[in-house]
Amino acid sequence: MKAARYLRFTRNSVQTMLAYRANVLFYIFGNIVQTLVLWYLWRAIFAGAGSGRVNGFTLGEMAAYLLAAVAAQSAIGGNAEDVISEEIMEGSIAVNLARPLDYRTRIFFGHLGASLYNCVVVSLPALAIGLVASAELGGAGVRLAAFAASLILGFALHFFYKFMLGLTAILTTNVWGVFNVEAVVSGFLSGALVPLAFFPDWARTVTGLLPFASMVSAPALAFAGKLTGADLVRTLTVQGFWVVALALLSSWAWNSLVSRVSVNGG
Amino acid sequence: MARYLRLYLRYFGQNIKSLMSYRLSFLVGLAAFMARQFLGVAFVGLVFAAIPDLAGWSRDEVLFVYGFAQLGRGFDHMFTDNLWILAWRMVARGEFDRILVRPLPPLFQLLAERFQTDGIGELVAGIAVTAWTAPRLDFPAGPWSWALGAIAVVASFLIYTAVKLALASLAFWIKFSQAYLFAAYKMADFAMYPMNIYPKALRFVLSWALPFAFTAYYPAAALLGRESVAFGIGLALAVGLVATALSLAVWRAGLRAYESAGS
Amino acid sequence: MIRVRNLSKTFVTQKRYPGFLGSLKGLVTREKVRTVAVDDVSFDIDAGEIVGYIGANGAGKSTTIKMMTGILTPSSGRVTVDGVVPWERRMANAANIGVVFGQRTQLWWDLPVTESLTLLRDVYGVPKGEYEKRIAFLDEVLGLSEFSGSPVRTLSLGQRMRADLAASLLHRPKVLYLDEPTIGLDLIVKEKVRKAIKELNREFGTTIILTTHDLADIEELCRRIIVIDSGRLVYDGSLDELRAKYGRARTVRFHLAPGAELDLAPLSAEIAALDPSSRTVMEDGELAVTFDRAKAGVGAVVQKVLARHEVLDYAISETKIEEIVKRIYLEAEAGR
Ligand SMILES: Nc1ncnc2c1ncn2[C@@H]1O[C@H](COP(=O)(O)OP(=O)(O)O)[C@@H](O)[C@H]1O
Ligand SMILES: [Mg+2]
Repeated sequence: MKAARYLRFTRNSVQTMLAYRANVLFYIFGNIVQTLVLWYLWRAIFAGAGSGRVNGFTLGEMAAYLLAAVAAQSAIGGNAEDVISEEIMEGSIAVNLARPLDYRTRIFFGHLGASLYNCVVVSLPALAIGLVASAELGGAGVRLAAFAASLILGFALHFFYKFMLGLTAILTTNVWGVFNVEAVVSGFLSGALVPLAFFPDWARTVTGLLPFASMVSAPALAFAGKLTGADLVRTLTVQGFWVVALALLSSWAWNSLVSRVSVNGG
Repeated sequence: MARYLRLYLRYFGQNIKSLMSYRLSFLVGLAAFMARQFLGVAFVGLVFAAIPDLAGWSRDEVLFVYGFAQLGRGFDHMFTDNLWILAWRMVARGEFDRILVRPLPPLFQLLAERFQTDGIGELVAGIAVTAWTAPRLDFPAGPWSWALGAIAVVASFLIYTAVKLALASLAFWIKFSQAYLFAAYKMADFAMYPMNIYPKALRFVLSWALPFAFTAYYPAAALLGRESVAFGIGLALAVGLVATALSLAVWRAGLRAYESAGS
Repeated sequence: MIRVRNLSKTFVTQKRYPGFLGSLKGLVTREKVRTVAVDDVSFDIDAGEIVGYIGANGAGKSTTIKMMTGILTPSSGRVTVDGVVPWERRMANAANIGVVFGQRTQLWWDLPVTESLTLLRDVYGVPKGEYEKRIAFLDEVLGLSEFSGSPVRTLSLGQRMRADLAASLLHRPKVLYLDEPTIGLDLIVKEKVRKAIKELNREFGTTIILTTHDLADIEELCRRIIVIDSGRLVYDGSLDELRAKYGRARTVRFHLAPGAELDLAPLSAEIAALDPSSRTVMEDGELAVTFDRAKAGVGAVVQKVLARHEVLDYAISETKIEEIVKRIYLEAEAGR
């Protein structure tokens, strides 16, 4: 009953993506291009490396990693930060706060819709290509299961993170700039561009202390078969920790900023 | 001409004034684009830590191409950013009306109305990277190289702007075209690395359809003596001019097709 | 000053389907919808005239104005404004005209009003001394100094409208287009805006075309009106003529006894039998009957009503211009 009220937002958000499908498809095209740039770069890098491995990766593993990173990035993508910042800037958030619905839950269900859409149009095809490209690695079923488990945790912690990101609209008007920095920085630190194994030791220490690796790198490594046994368990535990930590942090951020929202929204 | 320059400066002054009321967002934008460039460089650095060269290009050469690519792009970003707004909402909401009822060329007004300081971030990063790598390369320094470099930057600026103008103008027919711009700008990312890592078909597209290869790779290769000057810089300028002429034709047709917005 | 000949504009839009299933349906079908916004309209306007351009919502008023200002290129037909075809020579035309859209500001959102005005001064090349003089005049009629230091985004609707008016007048245009200049304004500001328009026309002979929903604007400002309905011109003539033509119309308002069951349809039919162009409606809790007194006598109408309903009171009034315009629309509808 209650869930149905929230599911409406999931449906709306899928519907919006369908209505703007031309736009959405072009954004997807943009991401395909980016993946291609990376792929050709890596191919040239492996060709130049002489030996078959670079930083522990074979070219097949790298292909699997890259495609799984694209799949994970899209699947956790959502649109929470866009929706929140837009509502804050337009002032419509005041009205939405007055509704008998929990704001964060409502945003979550909308976010979920956008993610589901991305899943169907980006993640599934990317994974399918990834499976073909990494057939030589074997154990596809196990890799997929590990990927899925890690992705779900990644999706959860990423949502709380994006929720907080959306709230920055309360603090600055150049939301576009903030999101841009964020996209670049998190794209880098999450391992979407280069596997974290390429980072120097000190930088790996830094990324170990941040949640970004739990968003993309973890599921992508799982898919590439680079996480097994104890490693996998440890990674999933770290992801679980971040889910809880970011959930608490986002509640705190929400509670301390929400009063400023209602003042602005007049 | 002098009148337009004076008017541009007037618009520019007003731009800076409105900027002052959004100081934080100005700094955020600058930081955003600096960060992006910095991480781009870091990416190249990380990759080269694992390999000696990339398809025959050394780290410094790759960085030189990368830095050079930011120059034209930075200028384009600073001076023509309002085209994004056109593609995103000005046409769809009928905000373009006001431009058509003033006695100045519409494109002039559109571009003058917005100076994007975010582009400074790209320009500064581009200058820093080229200035850092150039002396480390086997590079015939001197006024000739400077002149060629300047021409190449102009060509690159023209190519970026032409692609942006043509795609933004599509909004006159289809209302929103920022997704096309976004996709094209992603294509420009190909141009930041040596072309010979890509398959032939892709190289062809980047040279003759969306000619981003001429924004950095070919000119930089010419400066480094890997391509002839006539091809890498002369042709880049020609491509820039032709692309500009074509995009202006699209823009003019777009003005006739503009439908404003029902209220 | 303005010649409009057989002007038409058709918009083609994509049909959208409502609902979730509708958006899925939109994936596969692409149906085009053609809207004829302006349909074969012709008129001439002389220098110094103030013309009211009126019509219901969506009648095509704004579209016509956008073609006369050069914003839109028509589907067919021709317009010249002071000898210039607006959409062919936009810059030449722009120097001759001023435009205000009530719904949307033409000013820079983040700039204070004075900054916008001085920027426009340079855009139109108004000399400095001349500018001071014009601003003094505009300040006097529009009271700009109240808010001239505030950014446009912080202005109230009335202030914004006054600022927009001032901006459109800086270069002393020969023709001024006002699209709903009084929409959403309170009475005092409306009065101020009307006075400014009148003053301007008298002082400089500016030709003014005005669209509005507020017929008080028309009664106060315009000698001539042009009425369009669904894109077609249905009346072009003086306001006085219009009054004379439809002036025989009378409206009787009945205050009905509380609790009385009112069955409008049969009553309406009976009165229509006397005068087919009559209108019988409930308005503000009263029954209002409008009819041509040459066709149906006041006495006859009152009798018909009294025969059916208990009436506490009634009053006879001369028809307001608003009522006349409604009747023109109705006749145009019926004629189609
Ligand atoms: N830019 C546009 N695109 C599509 N249809 C439009 C556009 N502008 C106006 N229309 C349609 O044309 C008709 C006339 O509109 P308009 O001229 O704005 O009427 P008015 O100003 O009299 O209210 C309406 O049906 C409107 O929906
Ligand atoms: Mg209108």
